[in-house]
Amino acid sequence: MLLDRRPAPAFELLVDRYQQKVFRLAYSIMRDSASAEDVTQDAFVKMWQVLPEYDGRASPSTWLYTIARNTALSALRAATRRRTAMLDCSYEVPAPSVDTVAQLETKQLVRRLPEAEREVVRLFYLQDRNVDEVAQMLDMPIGTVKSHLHRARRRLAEWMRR
Amino acid sequence: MDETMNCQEAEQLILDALETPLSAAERKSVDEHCSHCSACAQFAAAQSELDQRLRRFITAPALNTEFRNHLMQRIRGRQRATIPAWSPDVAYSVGAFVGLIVSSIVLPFRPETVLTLGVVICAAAYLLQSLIFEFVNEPYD
Repeated sequence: MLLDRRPAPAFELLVDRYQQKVFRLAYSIMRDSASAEDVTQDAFVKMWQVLPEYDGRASPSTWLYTIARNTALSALRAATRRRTAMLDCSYEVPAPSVDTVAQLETKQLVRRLPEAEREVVRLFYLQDRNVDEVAQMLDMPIGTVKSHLHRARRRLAEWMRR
Repeated sequence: MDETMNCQEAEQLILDALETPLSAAERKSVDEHCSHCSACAQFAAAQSELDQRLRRFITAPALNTEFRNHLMQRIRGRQRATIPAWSPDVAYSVGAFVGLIVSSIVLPFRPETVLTLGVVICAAAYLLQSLIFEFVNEPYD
């Protein structure tokens, strides 16, 4: 459909179909709603700009996910640099409520996972537990996604037991 | 203990079940195995608890309802601002052509001389401009 030289309607379809998924992919990397939304916007704008070069070899979603992932990683690197530069600034951290303790614990455990496993676990739960979708987003074979998930689950259960 | 399944196989199926539902036969085998193997039963319980926690705590906020409108506005803005990359070349050629014709009529020299000199100067200027864009600046960006 993207090859029919009428990019606008096809592009709008693409936005309708993938905006939530791309947003969740960006959120899994940025872990901040506003930044994830900016990244999602940028990814779609980049997709729009390179649309005339689309040759139909890869599926549009694979292409879009690659653009979104690269955009998010660049944004994250830039944000990390800015944060490092602002380390001297003091800011107030609100005390966690009782409700959020379990959440904080779980998130801390997930953060301790090796990067590949962490990314797969986050995306798996953010993308409605769909292994195929995660594999496509990370450009990984389904078997690799599953083995990352299984290793992560074993590790997390072990850490929770201690 | 279930003779058809060892602990390693049971654990594998317990983990698989958290991603895709097991068949009835697989479910039955795992249940049977766990009813006799406390280690695997504990493993299943721990994995189930972990899965519940991850489902509950790894969630994404909703995308802003105005997202689509903002995106389309941004793209429409870019469409208006974008001119084809070859437009300056066309403008340059048309300007040079008109300039040459007018010069050959107005200037008090032979038209062939004016046209020849004009073409040479235009070509040199165009080459110089292309070199500058190539090595000094990104053109039309």
